[in-house]
Amino acid sequence: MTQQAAPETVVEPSDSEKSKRTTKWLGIAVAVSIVVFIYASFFYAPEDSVQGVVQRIFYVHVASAWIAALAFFVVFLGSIGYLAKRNLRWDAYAGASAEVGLLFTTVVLVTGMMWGKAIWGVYWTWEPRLTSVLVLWLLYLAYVALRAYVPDPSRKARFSAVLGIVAFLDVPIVYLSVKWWRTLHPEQVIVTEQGPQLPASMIVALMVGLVAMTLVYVYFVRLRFNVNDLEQQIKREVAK
Amino acid sequence: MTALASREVESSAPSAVPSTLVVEGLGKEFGWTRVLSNVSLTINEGEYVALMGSNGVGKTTLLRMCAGLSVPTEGSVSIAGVDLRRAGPGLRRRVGFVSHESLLYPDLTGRENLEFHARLFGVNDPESAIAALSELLDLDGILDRPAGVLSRGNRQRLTLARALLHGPRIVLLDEPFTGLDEESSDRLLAVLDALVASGRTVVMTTHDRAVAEAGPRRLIMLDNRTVAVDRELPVPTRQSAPAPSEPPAFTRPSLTTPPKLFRAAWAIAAKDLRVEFRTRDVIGSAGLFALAVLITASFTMPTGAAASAGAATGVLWISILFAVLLGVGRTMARESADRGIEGLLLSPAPRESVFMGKALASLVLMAVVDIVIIPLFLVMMTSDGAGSNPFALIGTVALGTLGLVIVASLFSGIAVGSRLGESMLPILVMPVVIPLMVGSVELTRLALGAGDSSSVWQWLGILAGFDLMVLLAAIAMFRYVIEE
Repeated sequence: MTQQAAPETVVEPSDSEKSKRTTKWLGIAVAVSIVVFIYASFFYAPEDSVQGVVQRIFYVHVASAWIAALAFFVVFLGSIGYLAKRNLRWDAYAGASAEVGLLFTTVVLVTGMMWGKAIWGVYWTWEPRLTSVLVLWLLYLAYVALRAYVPDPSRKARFSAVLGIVAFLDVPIVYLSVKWWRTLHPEQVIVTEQGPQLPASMIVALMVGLVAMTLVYVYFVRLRFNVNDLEQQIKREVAK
Repeated sequence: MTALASREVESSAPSAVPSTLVVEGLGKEFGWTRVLSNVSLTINEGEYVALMGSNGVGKTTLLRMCAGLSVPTEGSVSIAGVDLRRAGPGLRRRVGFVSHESLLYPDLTGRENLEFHARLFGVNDPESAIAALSELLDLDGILDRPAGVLSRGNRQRLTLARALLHGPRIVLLDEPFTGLDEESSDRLLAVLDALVASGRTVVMTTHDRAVAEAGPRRLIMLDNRTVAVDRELPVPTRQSAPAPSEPPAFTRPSLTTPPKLFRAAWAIAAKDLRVEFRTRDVIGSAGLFALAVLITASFTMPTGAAASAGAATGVLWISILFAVLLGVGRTMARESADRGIEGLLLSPAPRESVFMGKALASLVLMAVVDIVIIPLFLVMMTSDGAGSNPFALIGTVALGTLGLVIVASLFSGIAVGSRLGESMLPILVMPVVIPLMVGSVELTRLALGAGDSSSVWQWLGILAGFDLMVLLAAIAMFRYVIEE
């Protein structure tokens, strides 16, 4: 049988005093950035003249969507890394990132539904952009479910990697769906041929949101990764 | 595809290079359990080795790594100087493996099983090779019976025939004497003697010291995850009852080039279709399910023109989706029974051909289901057909079914390897195929004359693009699903 992959190596416990300190400071940075983000989106940015206060949901909605895409890209990279190196650390990052990405996608869906109810009059409509984000959410829910149903770590990592790569192929479909199909979803306003179509203060609020959400993402992935390390230590002890 | 194939470095070792089996610093962990540690061995061509040790010490794991069925956690296994991780078809043909499971298809006869493996291994004249093995292993009377109905002893002989069919230079046997009566054991010992006499290497695991001392000239004992004893055994003084008739000397069959991608895929698909022809369980379950959904829905759906514009097309595609899930899940579950998939992995067939063969067989079976349910759908749920586009309908059904089969075939290998088994398949497949389902429903509606028919070609293009994308992903990914 062809076995081109490198030998597996085992995730070793990595938490240390230094690591705990880093996690603590990261937590503080997350708290501060969230406070700044709330201020920027609710007080600094002006109220939209057409949509009113509801438009302010845009900052957390868009920032969460970008971070979800980042999280699933990390799953994609972790999946390729695992298949190439057969090192369970790659799988641990992919697994942690998928869970956090799923959380951010949930935020995207919920905030989108809240906005939709206020602007369109309905929480949900089966238009392509919403449908494809829901598909994305279901894909990574399946990814997380799969990990729960494959007990052997190596097999779990291998199967998850395959799904992680295939699922990521859906991300560009989500991104491009606005252009591919006629859609009720607002056109992109940040990345356009004419440049950003927003006032500078709104862009600043959005950027603050991106930084805050990125810190939240890194913090959560780090916590999940540490929990994974502890789980492995316990299981190793039990297996001895 | 080519890039993947090229990673499978052909064993550059020419056939004249001795098939020395070298194990260096080998270790294996399953999850958090270390099974083997720092195992190093050299087994020269023509050696006859007994591998012993208590239960769970790692004998089977070591043998599976030597057969290339399991990836070492650390260290390496090489044959004729070529690392098994880079083994090509030529190297794989040097090894014959008899595992705990038969790796046979229970619904095929012994002869059909052997013919299938002969085809995958590129045996030149399968009929003669099977006849020679029949004489060697006394297979008369069992070759034309389904493998699933054979006794343990008879199945074991057939398993051995499968492993020897391509004339391997190294024969690995995992507990080959388990379940054999005395006469069969004597015959097997005589066969192993004949193999060694013809210059083959034989390595077998056993718990039975009497068996270990009856033929093997070298004993390797595993303990505490590594080699504890490695010594020569005295020349056996076995004077026990000889085999009923002295088996003929082992001869190597002539081999031709092993089948390339498409021929191997076709061989695998033909095997699956033959099994289905015999059992009819995929067509039965998938077809009946689809029919039941349509008939039930026909009582609640509007008929005529309203149907093509309404929910009826959705019902049609839900019935096709679940038919595919049932059918493809069953096909892969059948492959996993008795570890038939490992028989494919031991063969020199390209890994991609396994996916292509399984998907092709499933596609043929689902096409049969489509042929039954589509006319029924048209009769029961649509109008007189005015304004419909039959070519678009055929294209939609073909592309939609193809996409579903590709995705389901990729994930069926994952599903059967999970704790949920086949029940996992819908969880994995459905999110991926939602865009395909939406496209297929919309296109079916357009093909039936509802909506703007000018966008038919655009939708067909989207379905074809989706199919192409998942096909490429599946071909690239499937090897990671099936390889341990």
